[in-house]
Amino acid sequence: MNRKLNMSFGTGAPVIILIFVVLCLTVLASLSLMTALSDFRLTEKSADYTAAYYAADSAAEAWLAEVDAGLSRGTLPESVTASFPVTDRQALQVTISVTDGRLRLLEEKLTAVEVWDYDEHLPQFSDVIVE
Amino acid sequence: MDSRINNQRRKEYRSPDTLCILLLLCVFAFSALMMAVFGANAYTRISTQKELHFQRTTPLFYIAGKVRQTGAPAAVRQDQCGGVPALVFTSDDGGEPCETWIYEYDGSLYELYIDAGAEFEPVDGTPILDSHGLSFHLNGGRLTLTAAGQNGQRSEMTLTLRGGEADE
Amino acid sequence: MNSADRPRSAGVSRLSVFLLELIIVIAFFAMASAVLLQVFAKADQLSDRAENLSCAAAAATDAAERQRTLSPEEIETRRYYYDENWEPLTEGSGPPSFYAEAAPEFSIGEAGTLVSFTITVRQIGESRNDEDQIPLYTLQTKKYYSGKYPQSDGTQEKEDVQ
Repeated sequence: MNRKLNMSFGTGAPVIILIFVVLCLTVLASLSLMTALSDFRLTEKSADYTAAYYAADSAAEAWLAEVDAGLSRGTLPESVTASFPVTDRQALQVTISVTDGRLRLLEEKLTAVEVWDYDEHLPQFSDVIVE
Repeated sequence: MDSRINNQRRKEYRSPDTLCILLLLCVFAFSALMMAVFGANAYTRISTQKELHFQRTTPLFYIAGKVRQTGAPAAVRQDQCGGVPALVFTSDDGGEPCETWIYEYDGSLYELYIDAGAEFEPVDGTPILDSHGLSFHLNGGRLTLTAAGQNGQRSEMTLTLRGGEADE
Repeated sequence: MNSADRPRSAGVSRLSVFLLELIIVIAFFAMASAVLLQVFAKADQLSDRAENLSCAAAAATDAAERQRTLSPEEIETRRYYYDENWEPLTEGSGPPSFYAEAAPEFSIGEAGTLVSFTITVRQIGESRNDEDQIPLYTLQTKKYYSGKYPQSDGTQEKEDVQ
């Protein structure tokens, strides 16, 4: 009849708190690291592309210097158009004109090296149309 | 009598121990909660920072790419559509003159590719990116762009339009 | 052993077990926190580097293009300053935190001058010599000016090819 209630702490409660908190923190830390890493890689790609564009632009300017030097010696350039690669898919195309021994830059633009072949990459459907 | 004394001794013995353990548990629970809040704040800060610098610089590089693909200064002009200032790039699509309009409208950078001279409304364009303060100024062959993030921080970029017209 | 001792040892024993469990849990929590805090610090560092690189590339592009708008007589080493938020600074406003430096190098050819610009973006550090710091971003660009050589009296006529 005289039952004594022994109040004690629940064994395992701290462990449950630990598991929950460590799980939360691990997920948050992974997400933070993945977000930051993907952002950094994308930014690096953009920065590398900018450097590649200016490298092609520099090559174009050096070509203009060469053509102008040739003109001063009385030599006409082999071609009035030159292409300088920026990436494997883009190139800087430069077009000049020579008038009375004077060099003029007509156009300098980024163009696609490879043109996407729509016919080659048509999606293949295996559906059957039932009428 | 003896059992009452023993019970009292038991309570005296247990009280400070229980209090210490309870205190330790509270400290642990509080630390765990603070760590979880810190982690959440850190993730939010990193995401927000990523978003803000994306908003500031991506419109500039996007428009720079368009300018570099155009080639001739005469093919770039400043115009307006429905009171909205826009940059217009003229191109030739299979013999047909076409225009690419780039403008900021309703918090986004819009792009619209249409036949030259066609009528349209700003809402007809395609939203490309979020934009919170894009402005541009074209003066001769020099284009000055300014973009801002949602927090108002600005980035500027100057571009020169390469190429010219041949002597006739 | 009398009956009064048995409940007391059981209660103390449960308390001891709980205390031991708590201590072990706290030890594991401390170890996990140490590791995860390092991960957060690394993520924060990467995020700052990405922001600085992005803004540095934009600043370098801006500096490179500004050099192209200069006439040959105006070409010299120039710096463009930015505050801690990468906003362009005008003269007299705020302490600069970053700068983009355009350093020209002249190469005189047969018919004109090819000017090479090295654009370097750096963070202004506490040390006096900023060149000791690793640059945030570097860009190389060139601009050709067609025209006559420098005259014997030191003057030169240069014109843009465009």
